[in-house]
Amino acid sequence: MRDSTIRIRTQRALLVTALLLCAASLVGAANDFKLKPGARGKLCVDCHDGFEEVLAQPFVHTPITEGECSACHSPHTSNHEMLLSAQTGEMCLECHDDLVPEETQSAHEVFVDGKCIVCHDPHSSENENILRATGSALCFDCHEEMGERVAENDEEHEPVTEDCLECHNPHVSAESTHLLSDSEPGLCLDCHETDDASFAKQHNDYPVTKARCTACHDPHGSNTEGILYDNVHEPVVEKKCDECHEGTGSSPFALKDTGFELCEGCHYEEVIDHLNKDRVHWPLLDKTGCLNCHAPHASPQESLLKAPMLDLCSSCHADTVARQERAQTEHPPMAEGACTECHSPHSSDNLFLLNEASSLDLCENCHEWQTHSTHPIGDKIVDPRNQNVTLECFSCHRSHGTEYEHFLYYETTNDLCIQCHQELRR
Amino acid sequence: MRRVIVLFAALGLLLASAQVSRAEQRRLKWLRSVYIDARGNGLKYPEGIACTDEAFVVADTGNSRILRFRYQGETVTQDAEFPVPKSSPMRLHLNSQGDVYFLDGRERRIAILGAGGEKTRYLKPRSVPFSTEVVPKSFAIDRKDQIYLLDVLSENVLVLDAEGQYQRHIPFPEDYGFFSDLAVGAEDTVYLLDGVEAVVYAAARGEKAFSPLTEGLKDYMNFPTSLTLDDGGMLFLVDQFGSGLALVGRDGAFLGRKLSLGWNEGGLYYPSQICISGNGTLFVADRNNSRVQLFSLGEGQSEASSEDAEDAEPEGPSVVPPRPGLAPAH
Repeated sequence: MRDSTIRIRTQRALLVTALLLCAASLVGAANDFKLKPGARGKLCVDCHDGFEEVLAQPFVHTPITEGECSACHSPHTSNHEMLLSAQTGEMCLECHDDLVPEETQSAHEVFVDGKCIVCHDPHSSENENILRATGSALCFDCHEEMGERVAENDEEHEPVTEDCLECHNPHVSAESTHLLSDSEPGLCLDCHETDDASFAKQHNDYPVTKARCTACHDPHGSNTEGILYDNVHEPVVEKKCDECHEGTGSSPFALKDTGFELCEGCHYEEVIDHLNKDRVHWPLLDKTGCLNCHAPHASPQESLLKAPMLDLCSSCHADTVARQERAQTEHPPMAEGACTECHSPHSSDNLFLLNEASSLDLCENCHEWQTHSTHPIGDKIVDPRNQNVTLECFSCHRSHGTEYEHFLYYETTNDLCIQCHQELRR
Repeated sequence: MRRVIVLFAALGLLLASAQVSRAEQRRLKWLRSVYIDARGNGLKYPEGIACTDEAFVVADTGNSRILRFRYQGETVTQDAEFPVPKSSPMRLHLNSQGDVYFLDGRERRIAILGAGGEKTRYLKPRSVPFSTEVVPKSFAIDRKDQIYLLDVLSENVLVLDAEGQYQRHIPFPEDYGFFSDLAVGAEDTVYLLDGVEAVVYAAARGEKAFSPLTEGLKDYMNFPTSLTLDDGGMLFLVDQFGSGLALVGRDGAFLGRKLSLGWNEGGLYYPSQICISGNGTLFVADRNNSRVQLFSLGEGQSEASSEDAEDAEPEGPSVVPPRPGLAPAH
């Protein structure tokens, strides 16, 4: 009984102490750094000369206008650069927590990484929202390739040249992917009138106002009339939508067939050629067929690919692409996303859908040197490790890369050689 | 007294869990490799394999033929050769009569070869209610000789009787990557392998839909292409691009990897299909090594065995993707 009374008293004492400590820390927070009355930002500016120019800018970060430099900086020490009191992203969100909705469909990478100062000047700017630049120019600082493309386009999409924020949210989007401020087609219909006769005529009277505009149109502009993507499927050019779509009835967009059979009508010989091989890329044969990889209307990619080749292939073969990313030596066709340099994407009589049966013939297309200077390889050179296998390029190299140089299977040349030349094992 | 009872109970639980853990492991011991037929001709890129307690049948894909071997322990003798010209035999299974069913990659149809070498005929799925055409990516045969087709065209697993008559179907689940293979367990549970996402789905007997058995196992394997069960219901995934096997428990838990990339005995180089016989022999169609390998399969961990020296755990180059939280291997 006595013991338990003592224990309860001790617990109470500890609780009171903890509460006092919390209260003390809260008081401290309200009176940061015990600055002299009226000191605050003025005290900092005494040393940090040149700051007057910052304050003279038309848009100044609110804490600075209130002289609260210590809202972001610790005057004594810090674990963060510029004596910041926390990581930038975390610190900004302490005040700007309204920027993150409960549910998001997409988010800007720099925002997620907390790199707010990539776009915003934390002190002041001549631009609204203390942005470092205005309009699309700010975005093109990072999205350089897009900026170059937009500048070269014959067919402009006006908002892109003015301000990306016409369509995109800068931080996150709760509405759509790609940071779009609304989903399609609603976003497009905010600006584009669709109730006139010419719009209907342009679209063959299909009810496209319920469809995805970016299936055909490049929202960033293009070199094709009507800002269609630069590669347009022939039936779309000729406005022969009913080559593939029903066109009438309650479901005019309904397809006339499924899988590769939809495409077979026009691409008969190609399809037959693809199917007449020992090995077919299986997605070609499923319900989606050709459309697993190809865009049916238009695409910025050659061969109407749905995405750049490496992205497209890695959507299923992520492990293979990741292997190259981890590899010490870059294999140019892979690094450049030219998977079809070696593989036939539809079908082949060869393993791995390779373009050639022998790796010697395949690799020779780029590595001509191997025909005159190499370790003995070829159909007549049996692999000492396996009587059924002959020595070829893949006996030593893994073409998608390994964690070792020259995409060798082993860390050192010695480790590799002694796999066969066991008499040299040390 | 109370303490003693608690102590014994804890000890019992510990022993039981050790037993479960041991039962949930498998130990592989390399037995032998088969490189040639009875005439001394080498196998070439064998992709399919099926087995019984006395025989195994190989799809010798590169030579467009099917080979049947008898085996007892480590003694193997070839007893039949069935040429299948103009075919590309891939996945392969046997029915209860010993008839050979194989997926012809060129025709994308299931071909049937009688046990006595009767002329090849093709399986014709009949009375499928929603489709006149079927594209089988793979197939399985259960103990009652029912055939399960992985039909990528209709996105269903079609269940046919031995004559090809439609019995029922199970639709593919939503949001999958691409289905590579399927298998049927002893309790008629159908397992479906999504090679892209490395997820196994299951539909127990009577269930009309698949549900995920595992989480995405991409952290543990590259690209699983084939699926087999042993008598204990453990799932063996052939990680073809990772040149190894991955084991998954009946509850969907990842249990570990077996075998690895290599050209020497016990190593695998883009394996294609495996088969596990009732007497505990595991056969591997070791495709790019152009051979078949036989392993004995027992319970327990290889690493704990006193026969480590003989265990088939060769040292090979790393092929497993880096685990989350670890730096990529450079």
